[in-house]
Amino acid sequence: MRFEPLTEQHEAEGFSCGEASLDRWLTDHALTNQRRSLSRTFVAVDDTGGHPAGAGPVAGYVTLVAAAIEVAQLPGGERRSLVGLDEIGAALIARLARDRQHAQRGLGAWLLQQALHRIIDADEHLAIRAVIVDALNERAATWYQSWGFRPLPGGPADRLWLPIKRVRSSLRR
Amino acid sequence: MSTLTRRFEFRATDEDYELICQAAAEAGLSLSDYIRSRTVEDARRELADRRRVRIAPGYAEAFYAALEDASPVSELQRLADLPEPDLS
Repeated sequence: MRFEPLTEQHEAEGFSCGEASLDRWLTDHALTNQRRSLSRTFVAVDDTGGHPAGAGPVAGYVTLVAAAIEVAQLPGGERRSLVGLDEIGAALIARLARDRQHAQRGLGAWLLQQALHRIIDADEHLAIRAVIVDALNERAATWYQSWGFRPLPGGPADRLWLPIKRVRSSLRR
Repeated sequence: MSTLTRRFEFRATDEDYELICQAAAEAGLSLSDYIRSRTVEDARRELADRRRVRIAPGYAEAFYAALEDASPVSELQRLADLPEPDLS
């Protein structure tokens, strides 16, 4: 199995994960956003098919985006008011999907594992302090929680996270 | 200003159409200038919002404490040990 950046040579047409918005993202928007440096999409390709690197049918994909967590700062004491915002660098796993024909084979988990390794590598150069995941629906949120992601304290309900230090210590190779 | 080369066509209910026309007139804009400017504004905000997560006031301490936690997550350790899937 290869995990590699999406290119024009990958076969994305016909990808079907069961969620139309995730299919459309891959076929219509992922490459455009990549060219604009708005996101990076990595794909899983079965390397037993004889396709060269950077080509072949897409079995699954994950899209990563540079993000920030804004922390509202409050002074101590009884009369508390907002005094500023701290900005914490983060990596956002914006989309993750696998084709329905590869369901129940652990492909989604492998995509998550590979994405987290890429994020750990990026942290060596960019000081990422947290990993956020965008849970499309309750089912997705439950799936991410099964891998240890938790709601952000005081954050929006559809975003789960883990501090990079915990990701690093858990995935140490 | 960039040249307007793309064309949108969409349907609306009578109520929505009247509402948008009224708001465009109030703003002193043509219907297409109004729809374009408001939609672009919304799109920019939505994209920016997706990349920014705000921690509500009062949760900073809990967030920073969690941020410094370096203990392994048992579920993720299980993920690390998963074999590569076989799709053949």
